[in-house]
Amino acid sequence: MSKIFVDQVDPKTATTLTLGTSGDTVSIPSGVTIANAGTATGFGDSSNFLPIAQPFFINSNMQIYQRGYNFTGVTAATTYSADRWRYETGNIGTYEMNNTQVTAGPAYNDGFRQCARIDCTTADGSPASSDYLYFGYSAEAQDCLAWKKGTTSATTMTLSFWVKSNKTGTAQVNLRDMDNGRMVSATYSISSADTWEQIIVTFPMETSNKLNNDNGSGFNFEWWLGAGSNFTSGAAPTSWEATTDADRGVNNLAINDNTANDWSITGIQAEVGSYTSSTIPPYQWETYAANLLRCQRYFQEIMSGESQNPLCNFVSYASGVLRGTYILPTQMRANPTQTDGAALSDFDILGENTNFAPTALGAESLTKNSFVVTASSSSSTQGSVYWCRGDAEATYTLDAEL
Amino acid sequence: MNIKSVKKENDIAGNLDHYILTDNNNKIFNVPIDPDKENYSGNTDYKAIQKWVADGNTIEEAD
Repeated sequence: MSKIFVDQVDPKTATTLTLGTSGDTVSIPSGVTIANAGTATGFGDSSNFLPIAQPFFINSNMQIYQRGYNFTGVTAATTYSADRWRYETGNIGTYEMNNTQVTAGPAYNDGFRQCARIDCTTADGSPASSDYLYFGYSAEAQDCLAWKKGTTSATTMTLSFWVKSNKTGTAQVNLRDMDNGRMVSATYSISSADTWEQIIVTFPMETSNKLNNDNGSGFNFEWWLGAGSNFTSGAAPTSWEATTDADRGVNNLAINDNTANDWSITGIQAEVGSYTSSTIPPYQWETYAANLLRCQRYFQEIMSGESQNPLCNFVSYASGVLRGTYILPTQMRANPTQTDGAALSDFDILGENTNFAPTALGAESLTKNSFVVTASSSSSTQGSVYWCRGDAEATYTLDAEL
Repeated sequence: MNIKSVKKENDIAGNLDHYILTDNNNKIFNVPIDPDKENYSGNTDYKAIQKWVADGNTIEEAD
Protein backbone atom coordinates (compact mmCIF):
# COMPACT_ATOMS: atom_id res chain seq x y z
CA MET A 1 0.00 0.00 0.00
CA SER A 2 1.21 3.52 -0.77
CA LYS A 3 -0.09 6.83 0.55
CA ILE A 4 -0.38 10.26 -1.02
CA PHE A 5 -0.55 13.22 1.37
CA VAL A 6 -2.14 16.24 -0.35
CA ASP A 7 -4.52 19.06 0.61
CA GLN A 8 -6.75 18.84 -2.39
CA VAL A 9 -7.50 16.54 -5.32
CA ASP A 10 -8.92 18.62 -8.11
CA PRO A 11 -10.06 17.07 -11.40
CA LYS A 12 -9.24 18.80 -14.61
CA THR A 13 -11.75 21.49 -15.52
CA ALA A 14 -15.11 20.08 -16.58
CA THR A 15 -14.11 16.49 -15.91
CA THR A 16 -15.21 13.98 -13.27
CA LEU A 17 -12.93 12.59 -10.59
CA THR A 18 -13.37 8.82 -10.35
CA LEU A 19 -12.32 6.73 -7.37
CA GLY A 20 -11.66 3.09 -8.22
CA THR A 21 -13.23 0.88 -10.80
CA SER A 22 -16.07 -1.62 -10.70
CA GLY A 23 -15.48 -4.20 -7.98
CA ASP A 24 -13.24 -1.97 -5.88
CA THR A 25 -14.17 -0.78 -2.42
CA VAL A 26 -13.49 2.76 -1.27
CA SER A 27 -13.50 2.61 2.53
CA ILE A 28 -13.88 5.39 5.04
CA PRO A 29 -12.12 4.47 8.31
CA SER A 30 -13.73 4.91 11.70
CA GLY A 31 -13.34 8.40 13.05
CA VAL A 32 -13.26 10.06 9.66
CA THR A 33 -15.83 12.77 9.05
CA ILE A 34 -17.16 13.59 5.61
CA ALA A 35 -18.49 17.13 5.54
CA ASN A 36 -20.66 17.97 2.57
CA ALA A 37 -21.15 21.63 1.69
CA GLY A 38 -22.03 20.99 -1.91
CA THR A 39 -24.45 18.59 -3.57
CA ALA A 40 -24.18 14.88 -2.86
CA THR A 41 -26.15 12.55 -5.09
CA GLY A 42 -26.50 8.82 -5.43
CA PHE A 43 -26.35 8.00 -1.70
CA GLY A 44 -30.03 7.28 -1.60
CA ASP A 45 -33.08 7.66 -3.75
CA SER A 46 -36.75 8.14 -3.11
CA SER A 47 -37.28 4.40 -2.82
CA ASN A 48 -35.34 4.47 0.44
CA PHE A 49 -37.93 6.73 1.98
CA LEU A 50 -41.11 4.73 2.44
CA PRO A 51 -44.20 6.91 2.23
CA ILE A 52 -46.32 5.02 4.76
CA ALA A 53 -45.45 5.62 8.41
CA GLN A 54 -47.19 2.49 9.67
CA PRO A 55 -47.60 -0.87 7.95
CA PHE A 56 -50.44 -0.62 5.45
CA PHE A 57 -52.03 -3.87 6.56
CA ILE A 58 -53.40 -4.16 10.06
CA ASN A 59 -52.55 -7.31 12.03
CA SER A 60 -50.81 -8.96 9.10
CA ASN A 61 -48.72 -11.02 11.52
CA MET A 62 -52.03 -12.48 12.79
CA GLN A 63 -51.23 -11.72 16.44
CA ILE A 64 -54.72 -10.40 17.31
CA TYR A 65 -57.78 -12.69 17.26
CA GLN A 66 -60.55 -11.10 19.34
CA ARG A 67 -63.30 -13.29 17.87
CA GLY A 68 -61.54 -16.53 18.80
CA TYR A 69 -58.83 -18.66 17.30
CA ASN A 70 -60.60 -21.79 16.11
CA PHE A 71 -63.71 -22.14 13.97
CA THR A 72 -64.88 -25.60 12.89
CA GLY A 73 -67.55 -26.90 10.54
CA VAL A 74 -67.54 -23.76 8.41
CA THR A 75 -69.38 -24.18 5.10
CA ALA A 76 -70.80 -20.80 4.15
CA ALA A 77 -69.71 -17.80 6.15
CA THR A 78 -67.37 -14.90 6.61
CA THR A 79 -64.89 -16.04 9.26
CA TYR A 80 -62.25 -13.87 10.92
CA SER A 81 -59.67 -16.23 12.37
CA ALA A 82 -57.48 -13.16 12.85
CA ASP A 83 -58.72 -9.61 13.22
CA ARG A 84 -59.18 -7.88 9.84
CA TRP A 85 -58.34 -11.07 7.89
CA ARG A 86 -61.21 -13.26 6.77
CA TYR A 87 -61.98 -16.47 4.99
CA GLU A 88 -64.96 -16.30 2.64
CA THR A 89 -66.57 -19.68 2.12
CA GLY A 90 -69.48 -20.42 -0.18
CA ASN A 91 -70.63 -24.05 -0.07
CA ILE A 92 -67.42 -25.61 -1.34
CA GLY A 93 -66.69 -28.18 1.35
CA THR A 94 -66.31 -27.79 5.09
CA TYR A 95 -63.37 -26.18 6.84
CA GLU A 96 -61.62 -25.57 10.09
CA MET A 97 -60.15 -22.08 10.25
CA ASN A 98 -57.81 -21.16 13.01
CA ASN A 99 -55.07 -18.92 14.21
CA THR A 100 -52.13 -21.29 14.46
CA GLN A 101 -48.66 -20.97 15.87
CA VAL A 102 -45.72 -20.85 13.50
CA THR A 103 -43.09 -23.03 15.14
CA ALA A 104 -40.32 -23.53 12.59
CA GLY A 105 -39.10 -22.70 9.12
CA PRO A 106 -38.23 -19.54 7.22
CA ALA A 107 -41.33 -17.62 8.33
CA TYR A 108 -40.49 -18.45 11.95
CA ASN A 109 -36.92 -17.35 11.37
CA ASP A 110 -38.26 -14.12 9.91
CA GLY A 111 -39.98 -13.42 13.24
CA PHE A 112 -43.53 -14.63 12.67
CA ARG A 113 -45.21 -16.71 15.39
CA GLN A 114 -48.89 -16.80 14.28
CA CYS A 115 -50.59 -17.51 10.97
CA ALA A 116 -54.10 -17.78 9.56
CA ARG A 117 -54.65 -21.41 8.60
CA ILE A 118 -57.48 -23.18 6.78
CA ASP A 119 -57.89 -26.95 6.81
CA CYS A 120 -60.34 -28.85 4.62
CA THR A 121 -62.40 -31.23 6.80
CA THR A 122 -65.03 -32.27 4.23
CA ALA A 123 -63.91 -32.26 0.62
CA ASP A 124 -65.94 -31.10 -2.37
CA GLY A 125 -64.14 -32.30 -5.48
CA SER A 126 -66.93 -31.19 -7.80
CA PRO A 127 -67.97 -27.71 -6.72
CA ALA A 128 -71.10 -26.13 -8.13
CA SER A 129 -70.57 -23.22 -10.48
CA SER A 130 -71.28 -20.56 -7.85
CA ASP A 131 -69.13 -22.05 -5.06
CA TYR A 132 -66.11 -20.15 -3.81
CA LEU A 133 -63.36 -20.07 -1.22
CA TYR A 134 -60.86 -17.28 -0.69
CA PHE A 135 -58.89 -15.43 1.96
CA GLY A 136 -59.44 -11.69 1.99
CA TYR A 137 -58.70 -8.26 3.41
CA SER A 138 -60.49 -4.95 2.97
CA ALA A 139 -58.79 -1.58 3.42
CA GLU A 140 -60.48 1.77 3.81
CA ALA A 141 -60.22 3.88 0.64
CA GLN A 142 -58.72 6.79 2.55
CA ASP A 143 -55.87 4.50 3.61
CA CYS A 144 -55.07 3.46 0.01
CA LEU A 145 -54.19 6.86 -1.41
CA ALA A 146 -50.41 6.37 -1.22
CA TRP A 147 -50.51 4.44 -4.51
CA LYS A 148 -52.07 7.49 -6.21
CA LYS A 149 -54.45 5.39 -8.27
CA GLY A 150 -56.30 7.46 -10.81
CA THR A 151 -53.55 10.06 -11.20
CA THR A 152 -50.64 10.48 -13.58
CA SER A 153 -48.36 9.59 -10.65
CA ALA A 154 -49.96 6.18 -10.03
CA THR A 155 -47.35 3.88 -8.48
CA THR A 156 -46.88 0.12 -8.60
CA MET A 157 -47.84 -1.90 -5.52
CA THR A 158 -45.58 -4.69 -4.29
CA LEU A 159 -47.27 -7.37 -2.19
CA SER A 160 -45.21 -9.75 -0.07
CA PHE A 161 -46.40 -12.63 2.11
CA TRP A 162 -45.35 -15.92 3.65
CA VAL A 163 -47.44 -18.91 2.56
CA LYS A 164 -47.44 -22.67 3.18
CA SER A 165 -49.60 -25.49 1.84
CA ASN A 166 -49.44 -29.21 1.29
CA LYS A 167 -50.46 -28.46 -2.30
CA THR A 168 -47.99 -27.12 -4.80
CA GLY A 169 -48.98 -25.23 -7.90
CA THR A 170 -50.04 -21.83 -9.14
CA ALA A 171 -52.52 -19.65 -7.33
CA GLN A 172 -53.95 -16.19 -7.78
CA VAL A 173 -54.14 -13.08 -5.66
CA ASN A 174 -56.40 -10.24 -6.75
CA LEU A 175 -56.27 -6.54 -6.03
CA ARG A 176 -59.74 -5.03 -6.33
CA ASP A 177 -60.74 -1.39 -6.47
CA MET A 178 -64.12 -1.43 -4.72
CA ASP A 179 -64.93 2.20 -5.51
CA ASN A 180 -64.79 1.70 -9.26
CA GLY A 181 -65.51 -2.01 -9.68
CA ARG A 182 -62.06 -2.77 -11.08
CA MET A 183 -59.53 -5.56 -10.53
CA VAL A 184 -56.06 -6.74 -11.44
CA SER A 185 -54.37 -9.98 -10.48
CA ALA A 186 -51.02 -11.64 -9.98
CA THR A 187 -50.13 -15.30 -9.79
CA TYR A 188 -47.73 -17.02 -7.45
CA SER A 189 -46.35 -20.53 -7.20
CA ILE A 190 -46.04 -22.81 -4.22
CA SER A 191 -43.10 -24.95 -5.25
CA SER A 192 -42.42 -26.97 -2.09
CA ALA A 193 -45.15 -28.74 -0.12
CA ASP A 194 -45.52 -27.95 3.59
CA THR A 195 -42.76 -25.37 3.43
CA TRP A 196 -42.99 -21.68 4.24
CA GLU A 197 -42.19 -19.65 1.12
CA GLN A 198 -42.02 -15.88 0.79
CA ILE A 199 -43.96 -14.68 -2.22
CA ILE A 200 -43.45 -11.26 -3.78
CA VAL A 201 -45.72 -10.02 -6.56
CA THR A 202 -46.37 -6.62 -8.06
CA PHE A 203 -49.57 -4.97 -9.22
CA PRO A 204 -49.54 -2.18 -11.79
CA MET A 205 -51.52 0.91 -10.83
CA GLU A 206 -53.76 2.58 -13.38
CA THR A 207 -53.86 6.31 -13.97
CA SER A 208 -57.64 6.42 -14.19
CA ASN A 209 -60.43 5.54 -11.74
CA LYS A 210 -59.32 7.25 -8.57
CA LEU A 211 -60.31 5.99 -5.15
CA ASN A 212 -62.66 7.88 -2.86
CA ASN A 213 -61.31 9.69 0.15
CA ASP A 214 -63.60 7.98 2.64
CA ASN A 215 -63.96 5.15 5.14
CA GLY A 216 -65.57 2.71 2.71
CA SER A 217 -63.81 -0.17 1.02
CA GLY A 218 -60.95 0.94 -1.24
CA PHE A 219 -58.60 -1.90 -2.05
CA ASN A 220 -59.73 -5.46 -1.40
CA PHE A 221 -57.27 -8.35 -1.57
CA GLU A 222 -58.28 -11.91 -2.44
CA TRP A 223 -56.19 -15.08 -2.26
CA TRP A 224 -58.26 -17.70 -4.09
CA LEU A 225 -58.22 -21.23 -2.72
CA GLY A 226 -61.11 -22.94 -4.51
CA ALA A 227 -63.89 -22.04 -6.93
CA GLY A 228 -66.67 -23.22 -9.19
CA SER A 229 -66.79 -22.42 -12.87
CA ASN A 230 -68.43 -19.01 -12.35
CA PHE A 231 -65.06 -17.86 -11.03
CA THR A 232 -62.67 -19.89 -13.19
CA SER A 233 -63.88 -19.69 -16.77
CA GLY A 234 -62.01 -16.49 -17.65
CA ALA A 235 -58.39 -15.42 -17.47
CA ALA A 236 -56.49 -13.79 -14.62
CA PRO A 237 -56.01 -10.14 -15.64
CA THR A 238 -52.49 -8.72 -15.41
CA SER A 239 -53.74 -5.24 -16.21
CA TRP A 240 -56.72 -3.42 -14.70
CA GLU A 241 -60.16 -4.35 -15.97
CA ALA A 242 -63.77 -4.11 -14.87
CA THR A 243 -64.28 -6.73 -12.18
CA THR A 244 -65.29 -9.97 -13.81
CA ASP A 245 -66.26 -12.90 -11.62
CA ALA A 246 -65.03 -15.38 -14.22
CA ASP A 247 -61.50 -13.97 -13.83
CA ARG A 248 -61.32 -13.88 -10.05
CA GLY A 249 -60.46 -17.49 -9.24
CA VAL A 250 -58.92 -18.88 -12.40
CA ASN A 251 -55.76 -19.95 -10.59
CA ASN A 252 -56.63 -21.52 -7.26
CA LEU A 253 -55.11 -24.37 -5.36
CA ALA A 254 -58.41 -26.28 -5.09
CA ILE A 255 -57.95 -26.69 -1.35
CA ASN A 256 -61.50 -28.05 -1.47
CA ASP A 257 -60.65 -31.28 -3.28
CA ASN A 258 -59.17 -33.33 -0.41
CA THR A 259 -59.35 -33.41 3.37
CA ALA A 260 -55.56 -33.62 3.42
CA ASN A 261 -55.38 -30.01 2.20
CA ASP A 262 -54.46 -26.98 4.20
CA TRP A 263 -53.15 -23.46 3.50
CA SER A 264 -51.52 -20.94 5.83
CA ILE A 265 -50.45 -17.32 5.47
CA THR A 266 -48.73 -14.64 7.56
CA GLY A 267 -46.37 -11.68 7.34
CA ILE A 268 -48.26 -9.83 4.64
CA GLN A 269 -46.99 -6.43 3.55
CA ALA A 270 -47.77 -3.97 0.77
CA GLU A 271 -45.28 -1.37 -0.38
CA VAL A 272 -45.47 1.66 -2.63
CA GLY A 273 -43.19 0.98 -5.58
CA SER A 274 -41.72 -2.04 -7.29
CA TYR A 275 -39.50 -4.37 -5.29
CA THR A 276 -37.95 -7.80 -5.62
CA SER A 277 -37.04 -10.40 -3.04
CA SER A 278 -33.65 -8.75 -2.62
CA THR A 279 -34.94 -5.16 -2.37
CA ILE A 280 -38.24 -5.52 -0.50
CA PRO A 281 -38.12 -3.29 2.63
CA PRO A 282 -38.13 -5.05 5.99
CA TYR A 283 -41.49 -5.99 7.53
CA GLN A 284 -42.67 -3.17 9.77
CA TRP A 285 -43.26 -4.58 13.25
CA GLU A 286 -45.80 -3.07 15.60
CA THR A 287 -46.18 -3.60 19.30
CA TYR A 288 -49.07 -5.86 20.32
CA ALA A 289 -50.79 -2.85 21.92
CA ALA A 290 -50.52 -0.70 18.78
CA ASN A 291 -51.75 -3.58 16.66
CA LEU A 292 -54.75 -4.19 18.94
CA LEU A 293 -55.70 -0.52 18.92
CA ARG A 294 -55.74 -0.45 15.12
CA CYS A 295 -57.88 -3.62 15.07
CA GLN A 296 -60.35 -2.05 17.50
CA ARG A 297 -61.30 0.50 14.88
CA TYR A 298 -63.17 -2.39 13.24
CA PHE A 299 -64.10 -4.78 16.05
CA GLN A 300 -64.12 -4.61 19.82
CA GLU A 301 -64.58 -7.42 22.25
CA ILE A 302 -65.93 -5.61 25.30
CA MET A 303 -66.18 -8.75 27.44
CA SER A 304 -62.90 -10.63 27.41
CA GLY A 305 -63.84 -14.10 28.59
CA GLU A 306 -62.60 -13.51 32.11
CA SER A 307 -64.71 -14.43 35.12
CA GLN A 308 -66.36 -11.49 36.89
CA ASN A 309 -65.58 -9.31 33.90
CA PRO A 310 -67.14 -5.87 34.40
CA LEU A 311 -69.23 -4.35 31.62
CA CYS A 312 -70.48 -1.00 32.92
CA ASN A 313 -72.27 0.87 35.67
CA PHE A 314 -76.06 1.15 35.45
CA VAL A 315 -78.59 3.59 36.73
CA SER A 316 -82.22 2.51 36.92
CA TYR A 317 -84.00 5.55 35.53
CA ALA A 318 -87.33 3.76 35.84
CA SER A 319 -88.31 0.63 37.64
CA GLY A 320 -87.00 -2.34 35.68
CA VAL A 321 -85.12 -0.21 33.12
CA LEU A 322 -81.35 0.19 33.32
CA ARG A 323 -78.94 2.27 31.25
CA GLY A 324 -75.16 2.71 31.37
CA THR A 325 -72.80 4.63 29.12
CA TYR A 326 -69.65 3.13 27.61
CA ILE A 327 -66.80 5.21 26.15
CA LEU A 328 -64.78 3.32 23.53
CA PRO A 329 -60.97 3.22 23.73
CA THR A 330 -60.63 4.23 20.08
CA GLN A 331 -62.94 5.67 17.46
CA MET A 332 -64.49 2.95 15.33
CA ARG A 333 -64.67 3.10 11.54
CA ALA A 334 -68.45 3.56 11.58
CA ASN A 335 -71.31 3.33 14.05
CA PRO A 336 -70.97 -0.29 15.18
CA THR A 337 -73.36 -3.21 15.41
CA GLN A 338 -73.64 -4.68 18.91
CA THR A 339 -74.27 -8.30 19.73
CA ASP A 340 -73.87 -10.58 22.70
CA GLY A 341 -73.42 -14.25 22.14
CA ALA A 342 -74.10 -15.54 25.62
CA ALA A 343 -77.07 -16.48 27.77
CA LEU A 344 -78.47 -13.70 29.92
CA SER A 345 -77.68 -15.88 32.94
CA ASP A 346 -74.01 -15.29 32.14
CA PHE A 347 -74.50 -11.66 33.21
CA ASP A 348 -74.99 -10.43 36.73
CA ILE A 349 -76.27 -7.00 37.84
CA LEU A 350 -75.20 -6.03 41.33
CA GLY A 351 -76.34 -3.30 43.67
CA GLU A 352 -76.75 -2.62 47.37
CA ASN A 353 -77.40 -6.03 48.96
CA THR A 354 -78.77 -7.42 45.73
CA ASN A 355 -77.77 -9.11 42.52
CA PHE A 356 -79.86 -10.44 39.67
CA ALA A 357 -79.58 -11.49 36.02
CA PRO A 358 -81.00 -9.17 33.35
CA THR A 359 -84.08 -10.25 31.43
CA ALA A 360 -82.80 -8.34 28.41
CA LEU A 361 -79.44 -6.86 27.45
CA GLY A 362 -78.54 -4.77 24.44
CA ALA A 363 -77.34 -1.37 23.26
CA GLU A 364 -78.64 1.92 21.93
CA SER A 365 -77.22 5.25 20.79
CA LEU A 366 -74.47 3.33 19.02
CA THR A 367 -71.86 5.78 17.75
CA LYS A 368 -68.22 5.57 16.68
CA ASN A 369 -67.05 6.85 20.07
CA SER A 370 -69.55 5.64 22.65
CA PHE A 371 -72.85 3.87 23.22
CA VAL A 372 -75.40 3.06 25.89
CA VAL A 373 -75.67 -0.41 27.39
CA THR A 374 -79.33 -1.28 27.94
CA ALA A 375 -80.76 -3.86 30.32
CA SER A 376 -84.07 -4.80 31.82
CA SER A 377 -85.01 -6.48 35.07
CA SER A 378 -88.01 -6.17 37.33
CA SER A 379 -85.56 -6.42 40.24
CA SER A 380 -84.14 -2.96 39.63
CA THR A 381 -85.44 0.01 41.64
CA GLN A 382 -85.87 3.46 40.15
CA GLY A 383 -83.04 5.77 41.13
CA SER A 384 -80.71 3.02 42.28
CA VAL A 385 -77.28 2.44 40.83
CA TYR A 386 -75.81 -0.92 39.88
CA TRP A 387 -72.91 -2.42 38.01
CA CYS A 388 -72.95 -5.26 35.53
CA ARG A 389 -70.45 -8.03 35.09
CA GLY A 390 -70.27 -11.25 33.12
CA ASP A 391 -68.85 -14.68 33.72
CA ALA A 392 -66.23 -16.32 31.52
CA GLU A 393 -68.89 -17.28 28.96
CA ALA A 394 -70.28 -13.77 28.57
CA THR A 395 -69.56 -11.99 25.31
CA TYR A 396 -70.45 -8.47 24.24
CA THR A 397 -68.98 -7.17 21.00
CA LEU A 398 -69.06 -4.23 18.62
CA ASP A 399 -68.49 -4.63 14.88
CA ALA A 400 -67.73 -1.90 12.34
CA GLU A 401 -65.91 -4.03 9.77
CA LEU A 402 -65.93 -3.19 6.10
CA MET B 1 -75.42 -12.05 6.94
CA ASN B 2 -78.67 -13.93 6.32
CA ILE B 3 -81.47 -11.78 7.72
CA LYS B 4 -84.51 -13.47 9.23
CA SER B 5 -86.29 -10.40 10.58
CA VAL B 6 -85.72 -6.74 11.45
CA LYS B 7 -87.62 -4.69 14.03
CA LYS B 8 -87.45 -1.02 15.01
CA GLU B 9 -86.32 -0.15 18.53
CA ASN B 10 -87.05 3.22 20.11
CA ASP B 11 -85.06 5.12 22.70
CA ILE B 12 -86.48 6.21 26.06
CA ALA B 13 -88.01 9.28 24.45
CA GLY B 14 -89.87 7.16 21.92
CA ASN B 15 -87.68 8.09 18.96
CA LEU B 16 -86.31 5.47 16.57
CA ASP B 17 -82.86 4.54 17.85
CA HIS B 18 -81.77 1.38 16.02
CA TYR B 19 -82.90 -1.84 14.41
CA ILE B 20 -82.94 -5.24 16.08
CA LEU B 21 -81.83 -7.74 13.46
CA THR B 22 -82.33 -11.49 13.87
CA ASP B 23 -80.31 -13.73 11.57
CA ASN B 24 -81.13 -17.24 10.40
CA ASN B 25 -79.32 -18.66 13.42
CA ASN B 26 -81.60 -16.57 15.69
CA LYS B 27 -78.68 -14.45 16.79
CA ILE B 28 -79.67 -10.90 17.75
CA PHE B 29 -77.83 -7.80 16.49
CA ASN B 30 -78.44 -4.17 17.45
CA VAL B 31 -77.80 -2.20 14.25
CA PRO B 32 -77.50 1.61 14.34
CA ILE B 33 -79.42 3.90 12.03
CA ASP B 34 -76.49 5.23 10.04
CA PRO B 35 -76.18 8.80 8.82
CA ASP B 36 -76.06 9.42 5.10
CA LYS B 37 -73.38 12.04 4.57
CA GLU B 38 -70.56 12.90 2.23
CA ASN B 39 -67.26 11.03 2.49
CA TYR B 40 -68.74 8.54 4.93
CA SER B 41 -69.45 4.88 4.40
CA GLY B 42 -71.35 3.46 7.26
CA ASN B 43 -72.36 0.28 8.99
CA THR B 44 -72.45 -2.68 6.62
CA ASP B 45 -75.31 -4.36 8.52
CA TYR B 46 -77.41 -1.22 8.09
CA LYS B 47 -76.66 -1.37 4.35
CA ALA B 48 -77.67 -5.04 4.34
CA ILE B 49 -80.99 -4.09 5.94
CA GLN B 50 -81.56 -1.44 3.29
CA LYS B 51 -80.94 -4.04 0.58
CA TRP B 52 -83.18 -6.53 2.40
CA VAL B 53 -85.99 -3.95 2.36
CA ALA B 54 -85.32 -3.15 -1.30
CA ASP B 55 -85.70 -6.88 -2.00
CA GLY B 56 -89.29 -6.64 -0.74
CA ASN B 57 -89.02 -7.34 2.97
CA THR B 58 -90.61 -5.26 5.73
CA ILE B 59 -89.22 -3.90 8.97
CA GLU B 60 -91.49 -4.54 11.96
CA GLU B 61 -92.64 -1.56 14.01
CA ALA B 62 -91.35 -1.05 17.55
CA ASP B 63 -93.38 -2.30 20.49
